[in-house]
Amino acid sequence: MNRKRYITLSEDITTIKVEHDSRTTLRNTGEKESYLLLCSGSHSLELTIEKGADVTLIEASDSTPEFRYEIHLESGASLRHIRIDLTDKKTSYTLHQERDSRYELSLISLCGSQENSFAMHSDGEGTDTRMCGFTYGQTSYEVRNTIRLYHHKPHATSYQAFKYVADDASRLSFDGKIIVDPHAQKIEAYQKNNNILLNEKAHIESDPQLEIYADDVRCSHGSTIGQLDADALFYMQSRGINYMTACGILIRSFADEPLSMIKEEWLREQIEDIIASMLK
Amino acid sequence: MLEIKELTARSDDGNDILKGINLTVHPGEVHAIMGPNGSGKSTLSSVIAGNPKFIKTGGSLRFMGEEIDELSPEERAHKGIFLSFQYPVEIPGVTVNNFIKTAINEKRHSQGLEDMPAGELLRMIKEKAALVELDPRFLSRSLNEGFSGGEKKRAEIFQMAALSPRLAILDETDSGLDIDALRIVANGVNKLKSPENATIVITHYQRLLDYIVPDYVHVLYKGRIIKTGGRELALELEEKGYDWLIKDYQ
Repeated sequence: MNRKRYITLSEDITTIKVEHDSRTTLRNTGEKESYLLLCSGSHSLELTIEKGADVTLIEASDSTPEFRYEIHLESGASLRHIRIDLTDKKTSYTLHQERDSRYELSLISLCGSQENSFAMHSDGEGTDTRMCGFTYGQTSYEVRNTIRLYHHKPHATSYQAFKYVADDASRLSFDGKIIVDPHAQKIEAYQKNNNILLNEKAHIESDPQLEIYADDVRCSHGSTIGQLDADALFYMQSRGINYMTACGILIRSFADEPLSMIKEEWLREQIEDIIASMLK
Repeated sequence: MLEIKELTARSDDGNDILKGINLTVHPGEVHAIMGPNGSGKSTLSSVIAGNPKFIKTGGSLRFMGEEIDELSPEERAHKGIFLSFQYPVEIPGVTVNNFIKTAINEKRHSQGLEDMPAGELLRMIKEKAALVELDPRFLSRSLNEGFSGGEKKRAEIFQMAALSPRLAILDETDSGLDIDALRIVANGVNKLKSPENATIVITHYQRLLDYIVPDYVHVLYKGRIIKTGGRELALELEEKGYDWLIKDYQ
């Protein structure tokens, strides 16, 4: 069986190398731009996305045991942030969003232990923050996502969807909190964490929380834990699809929300191949 | 083709549902299984297809001359059994196209064949979609996700067409369909009919049988077939309901 656990990076997109603590500003070039972030070592990156710029940042580095992001989105800026984790990592993310800016994260973790902490600040009206994650835990890997998402200003939206599949003796945890300040009215904030347990030795902790101090907001949160849907498996088997293939299809389907945010086919297909190779 | 003798089965929560079914289906035949709700119609189709939620407790179940008890659902499918679901499952992120490709190629692998060449597969898929009047745009949509009731059933018959089973079991295919959708689905089934294959239509109402004309009609009640007749039995049930038949079995 294919045991590939790395991503081959496309050569035709602009590369940003981070080999020490650095500071980078990405400007509006009039075109949507994609950048590949190549980091090595334990460093930090202060990244500013300039007013109105529309940028995609892809990162699949395998040599950043500890890393700190400070991301600043100026007004109207848009950042699609795709991060693939395949090794042990400890990462902190601090995000500040100005008026009408948009941040979208796809966080895919398929191998290794990771600890991610997020401090996300909506500092202006009209911001949109989307965070989607997929974690497939095997062996004894531990993955922990801690999210604090602050709505400081009114008329903003946020959405979080984290999907976990826990196999073997893996331990996955989700600790997410949305904090809405007293004057941050007309907020729409949603958060969900869906989990599939494949092994009785695997462990999942899910703690979605809301802390709302405004009175005119729409917020919801929830979490589910279950197994692969027996009816769906039988449905596929009845069409001649083998049990194992059917499990793979269901896991791929479960991960669809974060995966479909990755528009780059060269990247998404590699991720799908790795997921398929992880089934057993 | 299908020989069922004194078949008994229970659900995984311990309820005895089938209490001695006898049914023989030959190639070229269409059988309708009717009966009130809760009589065991869907359980019978599930047991034939190998749904692990039901446990066969007695009797025999033979397909193409072979006991199929020990076969997994996919092995039964590879032998030519197809079950169309009353409630087809939605699978986000997997297109109809990719799903059917996977199903066809897994069947071929079970026969020691390679994947079907892409061009041939594409032609076949287009042809079968046309047969059931499935808009080709559906092929690139996620399977059953956001499909209407009629679209789901059409997608089921499309899969049946693409897999060309020996025995197709249509479980309440008519439920939730308006008359136009019903006609399209029934037309698809009729076009696929041949002297080599057989169809079991499970239905609550006789309406579907105006379009898919059965050779035999069986009435299932409390886990047993209590009456078998020709097409006229369905018409009689339409007129008189089930009461006159089941009163002796209450």
